[in-house]
Amino acid sequence: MADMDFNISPDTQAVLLLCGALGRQDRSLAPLTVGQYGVFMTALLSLGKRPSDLIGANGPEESLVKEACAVPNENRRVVPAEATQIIALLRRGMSLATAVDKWAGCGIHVIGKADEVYPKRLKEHLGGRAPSLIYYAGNPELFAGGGMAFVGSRDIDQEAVEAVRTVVRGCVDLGMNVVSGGARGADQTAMQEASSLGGKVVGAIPCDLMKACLEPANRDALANGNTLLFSAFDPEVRPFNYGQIAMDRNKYIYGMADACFVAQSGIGTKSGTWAGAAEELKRKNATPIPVYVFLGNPPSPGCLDLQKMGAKAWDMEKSVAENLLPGADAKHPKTLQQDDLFGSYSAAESVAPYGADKENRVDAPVTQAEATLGEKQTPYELFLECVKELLTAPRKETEVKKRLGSELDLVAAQVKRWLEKAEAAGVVVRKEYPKGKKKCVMLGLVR
Amino acid sequence: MGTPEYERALEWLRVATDNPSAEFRDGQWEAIDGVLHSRRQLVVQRTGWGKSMIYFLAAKFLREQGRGMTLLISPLLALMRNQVAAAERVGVRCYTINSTNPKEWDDIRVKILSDAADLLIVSPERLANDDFRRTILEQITDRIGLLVVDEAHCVSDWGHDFRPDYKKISRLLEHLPRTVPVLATTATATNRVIDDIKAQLGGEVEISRGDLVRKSLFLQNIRLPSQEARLAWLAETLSRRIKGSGIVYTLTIRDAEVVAHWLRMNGVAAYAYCGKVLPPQDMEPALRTELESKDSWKVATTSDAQVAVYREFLEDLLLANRIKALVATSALSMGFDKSDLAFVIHYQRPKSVVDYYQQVGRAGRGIDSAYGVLLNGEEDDKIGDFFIRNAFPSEEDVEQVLKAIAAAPEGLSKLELERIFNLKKGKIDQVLKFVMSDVPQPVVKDGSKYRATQYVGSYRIPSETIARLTEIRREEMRTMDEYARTAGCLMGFLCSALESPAEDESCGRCRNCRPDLALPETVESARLQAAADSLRKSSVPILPRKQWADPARAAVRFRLNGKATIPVELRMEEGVALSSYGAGEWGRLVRKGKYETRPPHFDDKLVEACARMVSELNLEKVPQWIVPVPSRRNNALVGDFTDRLANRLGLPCWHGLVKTTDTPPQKDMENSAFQQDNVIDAFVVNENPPVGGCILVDDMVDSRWTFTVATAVLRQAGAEFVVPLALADSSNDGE
Repeated sequence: MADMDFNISPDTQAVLLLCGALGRQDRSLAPLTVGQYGVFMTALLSLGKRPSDLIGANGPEESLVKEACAVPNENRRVVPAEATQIIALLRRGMSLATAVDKWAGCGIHVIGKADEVYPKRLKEHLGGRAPSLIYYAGNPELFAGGGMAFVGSRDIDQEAVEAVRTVVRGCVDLGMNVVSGGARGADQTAMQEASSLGGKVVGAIPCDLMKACLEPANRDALANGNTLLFSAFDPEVRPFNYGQIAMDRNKYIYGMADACFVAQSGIGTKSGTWAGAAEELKRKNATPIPVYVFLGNPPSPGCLDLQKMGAKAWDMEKSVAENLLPGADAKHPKTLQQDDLFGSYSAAESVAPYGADKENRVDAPVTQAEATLGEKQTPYELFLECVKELLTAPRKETEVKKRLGSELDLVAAQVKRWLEKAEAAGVVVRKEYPKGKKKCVMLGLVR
Repeated sequence: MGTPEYERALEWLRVATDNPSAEFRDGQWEAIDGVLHSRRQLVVQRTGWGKSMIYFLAAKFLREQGRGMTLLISPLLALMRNQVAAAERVGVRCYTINSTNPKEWDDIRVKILSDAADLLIVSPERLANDDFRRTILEQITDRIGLLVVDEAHCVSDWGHDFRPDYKKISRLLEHLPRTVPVLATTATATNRVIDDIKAQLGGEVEISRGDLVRKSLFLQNIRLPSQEARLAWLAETLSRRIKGSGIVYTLTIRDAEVVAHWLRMNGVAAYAYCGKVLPPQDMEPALRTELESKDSWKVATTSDAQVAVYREFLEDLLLANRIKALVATSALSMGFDKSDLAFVIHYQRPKSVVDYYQQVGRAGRGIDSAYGVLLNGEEDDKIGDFFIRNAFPSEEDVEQVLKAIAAAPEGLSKLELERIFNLKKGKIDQVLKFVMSDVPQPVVKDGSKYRATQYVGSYRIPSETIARLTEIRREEMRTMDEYARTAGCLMGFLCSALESPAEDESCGRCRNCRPDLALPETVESARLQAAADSLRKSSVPILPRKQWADPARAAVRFRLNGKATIPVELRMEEGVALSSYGAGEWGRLVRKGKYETRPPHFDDKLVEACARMVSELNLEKVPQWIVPVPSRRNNALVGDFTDRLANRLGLPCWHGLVKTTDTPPQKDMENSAFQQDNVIDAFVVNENPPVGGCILVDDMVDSRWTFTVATAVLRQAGAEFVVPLALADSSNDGE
């Protein structure tokens, strides 16, 4: 049965007011950056208070805000927010209500670290990098996590597709979750295969969760209770630095799974798949989960490289259980207990959500504010990414131009120039169809 | 009291009311103070008590403290001019955004973003509209310092007046953090509704509730079953027995027009005021000139904009006592504030005591004596029943619309839905509005498309809530009927029905307490006869359509460019229908001729009546010939009638317009797209028409698509102009 309680806990309400994009990027009042939020929250906690204390029974607690802002800031890289800005942010209640109401309409809930539902494994696996806000739709029981993550490039070849399907089937037979990122290629192959077999699916969506929830395939999967989709990014806002958001999403995929299957990968930091897997192999803050690579014929360069870095080769001749637990009785996979596969997390110790001691200090959330950090894309590359996202199906040229213009805040001439460049580079193809006396111009991706 | 804030507020109150000795009413200052300290407030006070002063002054204080503007959600289209004046005197800048002023939205948005607006009024319909939320509301919500919900009784589904648009408001309230102060106001709410509003505001709410008694109001109920009798009574009463100006309320738009027209014929300056009203043909010439010389009228290009200007013009006329009465539907019920309103007369029985009190309570606020008269007639139950039955979408309609949306991977636009379903546009809107305000929500709007959510498969229309609401409405109707018949004190009855806090048993000054003060309840027979004649004759204008419903198909048929606008050279003139189908003597004769006579045949009386009507039309251009709309089902009926009419008018009857295909009856087509497409290819001319313009005759007019398409065919073949004429208008109305 669907969980129809979309009310937000007071702590999460406060965090959302301070950091949330609330459905729009072009707000005149800027939410706190990750750094500012960290500084402010540290100060607040040092006073023995929690976020919900900022919202009194009758409006914002202005004196508490001022008191927290007066606590000396030790983080020199951050210019702290002024008390007036924080109070103004806390007064964005009407924006919050409108946004939450709209999200609720699509079945999207919002939770923060203090909420019971918040996935403990993300806190453990990511420590300070665990997102402060999570937007999710579907069955929250699946936040308990576990199972196999599937990652791989968008343009995955047929051999890898078959490999993914085979391993997914094995996982579903064992009752394991399938965790993935919802992208084209390996992700969708894994998720759709698992859904069609009635398996449990956890999707870590980089952004646009609202759109994802309305996709017919997801919609039905969410309705039957076997699927959970979540995102740490505002459900409606289209980020300017999609690359960074997608990289963060990779961390959540690894955080939610017990093992990872890399179907196919490019090599080097340009490949999100490779970068995510490499990061996991080198993880220091928590025990990394085992990474398996599929070595096809020929093996993808990224997978070979990851193997050198410590990833294990997946043996397609063997069952899932045999691959994960060498030496187990392959003929009786049913004798495997859940604990054997998922034991390390089943007894996860609970982490005090807003503990005041230094080890457990609340860290910066991943909000759109963080988006401004560490981005190396050129504007044109960013543009191309948006084009590729937009043209998953062919669309009218006029519509494409309009949307690119508004989403990237570009003048029409710039959109036109870059589209021509993309066409010349063989990324985009245009087709004309007669429509009455006029013609209709469609744009699509060169496959 | 006595605090510096109180003193300042009092000073502002005196400036705003332009009255140096004004004092706060009990509860006014307390509510302002509460709002300023973010304590949620519910104010239940009668119309004219001064609820608006609470949010004006609160808005003023908030701005002084550097806080955001006030958002007022209210069904009223604009503050009354005197309210604006009061606000402006204390420097509160008010703006309105609603469907009548889309051209001003951009300007207003700029004002809001540059902090140059203090109070914004938005209708619940706008608030629930996704496009509006996206393009305007979401850009300004960061700066909202106070949320005011007017007519707050509508948020409760324990009240008879619950509406889907208000359901959206309760969803917002549910998620609204306590960092935003909320003020809810209503004139009438029962205890149960008050409890419900309180719960929706989050429990901790301060309530100010006053009694409803208006000492100056003289209530009287008169039972006059026939329309003729009520018309006659109104003409007599308004022309000589009541001094001052007031409002006559009707339940339907058509009744408002009929009553206003009749009153003007009897020398009473009365004008209809409804959702889509435009100036009538027989408007007082001086008033028409005055209206047409207004700058706002000159720049009003769309009919929506003209409606807005005309309505404002009418309000001004009434405020200045320059006309005797506005004959209004509930479009005028909210926010109209005239302190010397001398009477409120109901031509039909309103659907509930709450509605009735809201409307009658406008009379006599600032004067010693005013009349509140309820006439009730034979059609009241039928109309009330119609409203109740059509208040919610049917399970079947909901199911099929949801199924279609779920089956479309990219969703469906409203136009696409209309093409799929032979459902009235209003019905499709009703389904969408209802399900989109429900929780769980099976459909969301994504751009122009309606898309299914994960709840679409499991969604069930809340039949229990609907059954409960329907029962509440029936109960309200019964209470209203009891009121109409009670022999006890009328004010006492209303107060107890509305659970108004303690009052004396009887008012001592209503029809039943003081029969000696009552208005006469009989009518002269001569007047009665004249009213009956007028009803029989009430014709209905046929306005030309200006837009295609399906421009693509029209473009193919008439070799056009595919624009939505119908080219002027293909449009018809304004025409007329002799009667409303089934109503009055002519309307009944039409029904008899078409369905109750074998073979069907229209009476000669109708020929005579039509001929007289044509001669009274004052057409600018004289028609040279006359042509029937052909039918393949029963060609003789209209053709024969047109021959007789042509003979009577001395014009040639031309039969060159023919129907080439069998089409299902237009009355089975429920929306514009279906109606247009049903007839778009049906007509051709088989020879060149005569020179000059013509009268195009049909028996019934409903959607006007048959006339519109046949006219386009005739005009493309060379007809100079086309005046449509029908025997009866069979379109449904109701507001």
